[in-house]
Amino acid sequence: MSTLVALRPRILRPVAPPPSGVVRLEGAAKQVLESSRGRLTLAAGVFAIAFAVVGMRLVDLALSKPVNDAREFELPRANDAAGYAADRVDIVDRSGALVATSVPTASLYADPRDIKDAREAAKRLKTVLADIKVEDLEPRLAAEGRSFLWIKRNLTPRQQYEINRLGIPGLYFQREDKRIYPHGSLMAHVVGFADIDGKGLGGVEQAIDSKIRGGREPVQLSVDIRLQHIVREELQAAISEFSAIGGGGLVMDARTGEILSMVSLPDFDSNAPGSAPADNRFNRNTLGLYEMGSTFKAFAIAMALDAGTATMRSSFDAREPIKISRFAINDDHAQKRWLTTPEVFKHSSNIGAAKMALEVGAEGQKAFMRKLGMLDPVQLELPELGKPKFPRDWRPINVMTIAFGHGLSVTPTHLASGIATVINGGILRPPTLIKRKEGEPVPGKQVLKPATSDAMRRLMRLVVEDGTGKKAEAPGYWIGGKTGTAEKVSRGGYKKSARLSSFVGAFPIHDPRYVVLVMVDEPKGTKKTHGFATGGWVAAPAVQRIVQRMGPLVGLPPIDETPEIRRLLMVDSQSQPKEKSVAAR
Amino acid sequence: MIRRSTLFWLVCAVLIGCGLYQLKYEVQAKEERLVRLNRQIQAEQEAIHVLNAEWAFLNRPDRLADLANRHLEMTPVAPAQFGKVAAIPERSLIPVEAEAEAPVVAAKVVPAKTPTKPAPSLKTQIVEAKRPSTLHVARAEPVAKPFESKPLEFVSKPFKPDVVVIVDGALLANVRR
Repeated sequence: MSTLVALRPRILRPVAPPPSGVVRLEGAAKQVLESSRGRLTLAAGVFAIAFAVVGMRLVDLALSKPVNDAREFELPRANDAAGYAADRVDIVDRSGALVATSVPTASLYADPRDIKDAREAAKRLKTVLADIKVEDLEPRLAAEGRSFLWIKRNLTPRQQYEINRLGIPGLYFQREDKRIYPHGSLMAHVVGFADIDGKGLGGVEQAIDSKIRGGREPVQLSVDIRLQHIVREELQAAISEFSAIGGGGLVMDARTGEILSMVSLPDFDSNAPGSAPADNRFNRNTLGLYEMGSTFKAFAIAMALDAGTATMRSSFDAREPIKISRFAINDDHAQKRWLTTPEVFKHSSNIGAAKMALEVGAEGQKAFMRKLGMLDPVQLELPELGKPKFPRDWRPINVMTIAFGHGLSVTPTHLASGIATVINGGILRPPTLIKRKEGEPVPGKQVLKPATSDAMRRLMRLVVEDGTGKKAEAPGYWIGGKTGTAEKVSRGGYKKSARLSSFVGAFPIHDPRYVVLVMVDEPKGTKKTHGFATGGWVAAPAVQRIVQRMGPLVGLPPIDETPEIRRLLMVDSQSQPKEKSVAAR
Repeated sequence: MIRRSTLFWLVCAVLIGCGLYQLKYEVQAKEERLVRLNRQIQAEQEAIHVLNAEWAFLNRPDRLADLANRHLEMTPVAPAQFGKVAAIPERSLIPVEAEAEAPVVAAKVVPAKTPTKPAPSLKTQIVEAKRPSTLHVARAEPVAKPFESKPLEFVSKPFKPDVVVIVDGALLANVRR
């Protein structure tokens, strides 16, 4: 004992007298007890910590929200207010009518390894799916080493039921979304179409594919299907009447740049884009580049008025054709006299417009056209956008031809947007196919003086009242506009027989709201039009009918003339051409 | 003492166990119900989605135009048919006696009542009512005999209003000038 005491001096302490009846262990026994007590404490500590951890975890689980719980994904979860979540969001028109949507369908595929009797399976499938060929399907079903084979995508519910009832082993269904376009071809060039795998391949579907694919909210277009229907019907009527090869129609909001209607004919069915000739997919309004013809005189005159080289009272010598190198510029409606600015526009004088443009000069004209956006592609939510074609060297001959719409090829959208700018007070509003949010400021840039725009409105009204566009007159709707008849370019020159007849109008012209453009490609004159197939005969009546039909729809019923309207549209027609004023220049 | 507390804890454990068991099954049942409901909602949402597409399909402007052409005798509004609210003549506030006697409804659908007095002809009734003759009532010729117990037929005629009043794009009234 003494050795132990010597070894562990700590234990040496005054020993209290043992209480009676209590056994005190001493020596080795005490030591064993002490060490096992220590072990117990250790074990208890470990367990306490473990329980504390478990307890804390319990509290944690009880209080915190489940994150990434695998079970959550097993449960089918209904979408909150959003409704059915397709892989592509819906596209709706400006009033909310469905234009494109995705509906769930079942697609049929086979696992050839599970097919026992390929011939029998193919034969029985044929009873439900009439369009499959047994000879084709059988070898594919019998093929070794394949485990997946599409048989038919996007079945109808009835077909799915029938196939299910056949009970052929090895056939399976896969849920897939099918993109459908309830309006078929009505919006074909605007919405475009998507392929079977849900990838946008044309129109808005392609241009904002990522937004449509990843979005939650429907995409709202600026187009109105009712107006679209009206424009399409009237354009089709004009094309049929004049045996034309096609045409384009546009309605644009002059105040916001929103495109309310865009029709290009011939068109195709968005549900089956392959069923029509590929040419039908060509969007004349945005991809077609045309020399627009006389409608461009609106820009020539606006340019001269804006630059101050001409006023409404200026006169121009239109007695003789302009001869420049081997070309001669003539007037279609030749007056053979001096013409004032309004007369140049009213009679659509090539000579007058050319002379006005010459006074501004090449640099001025190019800058003006760039300012109006005529030299750059339109920024529209479509993949099909044409890049304008213009001469690299802007020579005097180009200045003159561009003044009356030849030598500069733009799309009809350019023209409509330019006209909207010219009449709406001179503010260029970028055109768009997506509805602008109400209350949000519309982007725009002042590119013309308001006074120029005011004069142009008067001039455009004059054309309809007493000029080349009389056939566009719809009483009470106050249409103003400009006709255009361009000869189409063919190899090496212009074709007299192949024309592009157009009319671009706006109404009510004293306070323009809508720009309406109709363009008919290669119309042929009829008996009724005395063989004429010009813009005034072909496109102007179509615009008149469109305006008369759309006016009440957009809340613009016909109104009687008021002194206010007369004041806004009056053109000083009393002024006589003054030869001297120009001769002095 | 020890035994009593052991018993207490034992009872507690059993009760909690039972409760937990019960709760678990209740939660399971609720979860199954939730799954079922969610599936149902999903199915309904899909159905609504498909029906919306069909609704849009049935409302194609060309289809509506075709249906209107075939079944309605209405024509597009001509510019001359537009009028202004201000152009509508003001009505006198004092009701005309005859108007009160023969309200429009009565003139429209004439009930086959056996009149006590010698029946006035329908035509005179309408004239008395001083209503605009936009109502097309058949058999307006004087009926000599007392009314038979047969209701008068209502023959529809093409509806051609003379003036249509449109305010902010909404059709307000058809007025006859």
